Amino acid sequence: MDDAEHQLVVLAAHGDERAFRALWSSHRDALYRFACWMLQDAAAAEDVVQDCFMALLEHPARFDPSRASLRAFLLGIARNQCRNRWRRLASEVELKEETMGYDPQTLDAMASNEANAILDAAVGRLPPLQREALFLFEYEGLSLEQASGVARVGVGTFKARLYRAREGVKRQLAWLAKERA
Amino acid sequence: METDPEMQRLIRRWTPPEPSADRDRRMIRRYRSSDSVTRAAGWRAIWRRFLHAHLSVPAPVLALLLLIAGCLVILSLGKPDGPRQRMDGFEPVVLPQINVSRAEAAQ
Repeated sequence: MDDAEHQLVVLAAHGDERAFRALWSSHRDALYRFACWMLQDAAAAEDVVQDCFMALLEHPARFDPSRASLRAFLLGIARNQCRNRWRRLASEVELKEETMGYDPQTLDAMASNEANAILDAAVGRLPPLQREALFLFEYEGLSLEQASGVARVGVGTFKARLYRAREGVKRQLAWLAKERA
Repeated sequence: METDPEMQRLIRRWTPPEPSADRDRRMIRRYRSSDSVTRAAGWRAIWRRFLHAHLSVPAPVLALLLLIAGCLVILSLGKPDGPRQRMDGFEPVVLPQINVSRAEAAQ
């Protein structure tokens, strides 16, 4: 699979539009989800996804299929793009320390779009690195090794981030549920 | 470290907003206009254009071209084959007289 994708990357970089379309349709949705999760801005997320593909085509040799899958490689590019945007916006929100528990049943009982909005709000209050860890491991289902590779940290550091992210989301959900009540 | 099934179930309920309808079209347009891709595809594109080229010719023009081509073929068929040879000073070879007789008659 990776060899086939590597071949597609080379062909796409040499102007083969069919190869490019195959890559685009395989990975655009995962990258878009990640960028939306990180930026919480659909238009900015679309720009990030486009930039990722253009970066891949401009430097196709940087993708080494023996080191990472194309999905992980593209997520790594998307991560950098999102961080650059974050730096420009300088809008990182500090997570408030809450010590309340949370009840998952509360979220289950909500309508889908409402639950989506609450999850958005809870995740939006997480620091970006924790948000990223949560998405890569829990949402995208990457292994710890893959996810820490994308995040460019050791597995231990990644685990710590993930732990804090889980706790942070639980606190935020509890707080939001309390606000709603 | 194991996944947290409860957390996973919760956050997977999250869905991103619908992407814009022209997302694919914008990406393909950007791909086609990209400098690096255009440079790499330059020569390839020339050959591809040549191999997939279409030429539209009005029917009367096509008929006239076919007529001219036909005339040229007929004219070329009417000409003698090969270059003409000069026959000045040519004399035919005198064939020797050969008499054939039976062996019995000779004895």
